[in-house]
Amino acid sequence: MSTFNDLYRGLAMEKIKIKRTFVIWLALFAPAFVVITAFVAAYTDGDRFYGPGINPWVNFSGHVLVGWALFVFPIYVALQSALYAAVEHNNRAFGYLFSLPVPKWSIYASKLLVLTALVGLSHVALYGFAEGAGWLLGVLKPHYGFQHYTLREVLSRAALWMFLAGWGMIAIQMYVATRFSSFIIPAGIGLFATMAGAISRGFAASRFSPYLWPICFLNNSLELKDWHYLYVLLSIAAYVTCAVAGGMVLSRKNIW
Amino acid sequence: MIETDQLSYAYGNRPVLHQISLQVPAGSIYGFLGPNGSGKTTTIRLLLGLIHAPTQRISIFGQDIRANRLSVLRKVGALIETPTVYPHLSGRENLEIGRLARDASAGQVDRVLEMVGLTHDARRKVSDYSLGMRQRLGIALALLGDPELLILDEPTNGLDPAGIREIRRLLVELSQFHGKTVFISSHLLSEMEKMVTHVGIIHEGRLLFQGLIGQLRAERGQWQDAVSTDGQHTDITLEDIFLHLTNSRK
Repeated sequence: MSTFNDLYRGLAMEKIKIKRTFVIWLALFAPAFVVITAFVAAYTDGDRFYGPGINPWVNFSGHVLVGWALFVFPIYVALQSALYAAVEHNNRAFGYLFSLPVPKWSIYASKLLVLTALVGLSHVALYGFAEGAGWLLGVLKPHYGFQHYTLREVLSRAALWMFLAGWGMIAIQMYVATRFSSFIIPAGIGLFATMAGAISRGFAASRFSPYLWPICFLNNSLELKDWHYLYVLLSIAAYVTCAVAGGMVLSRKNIW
Repeated sequence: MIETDQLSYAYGNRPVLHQISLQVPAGSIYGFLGPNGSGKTTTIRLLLGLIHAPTQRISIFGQDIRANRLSVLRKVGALIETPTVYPHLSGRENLEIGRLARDASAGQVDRVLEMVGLTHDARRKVSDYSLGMRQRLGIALALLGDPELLILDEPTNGLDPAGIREIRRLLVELSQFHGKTVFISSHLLSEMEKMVTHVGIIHEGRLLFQGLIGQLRAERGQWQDAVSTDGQHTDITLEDIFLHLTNSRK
């Protein structure tokens, strides 16, 4: 009971701290960026891809999901974790937090859960924005045929599973962002991991990077049966392992 | 209330505290004095468990801080160096964070705001606060949960004389009327001697003097020859003794 109370209080504290910060905006901006880019590309050049008898949602959703999973998702998690941790680092607040009668693990767990929730919000937004953009294309460019088809189930499931496949990356970034006070380190790690993923994509070695698990999960397909759910399991296992290890390391850390 | 037993600490190979044995009685205002870099903040961080102390060396409320961190901290309010608050939030929101951490009642926020005179500024963003207001907010944060012991690291840093007087009045009031024990660090004896009941003087990690402030005053005569550098036996002040002890006198 006390554990839940500690965690509840930790979450309530975090909820106040993110007021008037950019973290919520970033959680919406990142998916909006992907969808708007795909929307503009489809709007201006859709005649090349969409025509009678072709489901335009397949091409459009492919652009949104691959663009998100391969590039924007890892960079977004890196920036979001750095931005969120900066709320404490900028104010040298860890000394204050750790001098309060709150278990250190609950402070870390609350932060990790809030970051996870923010990333979850981004995936809800990604799905919502993609549906909205497809609907708008159907209105503005009816000859594309968006209004005649739907890919709602695939899009919503892809958003959910990619979110879970990104949990390993979230836990790693949260630890790095909490451990190092410099904004550059977590942001830089995320950026270079993304670039490394793009370069090594397709090679066997890339499967070991948690930053690539969302795209590995998709397996270049919008067919549910082709998706690799093993990466979701790996990601959740990495999340739990990294959360426990990160919490233990930070609990033992001296605060200067 | 606070006891340390031959407490030593080193940053890597560099020793910063040498066998410090503090004795802070309940109900006292204990001035922990020393020049910058003498080990005051390190001692305070050890007392609060922010850096790991050797076991059985620090006892607060009769409990070892390492083994009983949470139960000790429930009865301690702290302000470490510059008051740590979130400038993008209002004073009230900052206090709400502290209140949640201490699981204190909602009414405590209004109570401490009133105690430090920030009721009318509670809804303003802290980024708009003056340094003095931030210091008062820091003390308000320390007062949440009605702690028995306040540990304050240089709470008058950067304040103008009026701000210093205000903090001094508040701390004396907290001790005399609310029964708090106050452990306060500073590098200014002249400020501390107006409010403290006990004093500990630390220099280069060594505790050079510890006792009642009256005891230091009473021993003033013994320091006369040592402190007077010009050969003239003019009256020396506590500040002279402090500067002599800490080798700060030029």
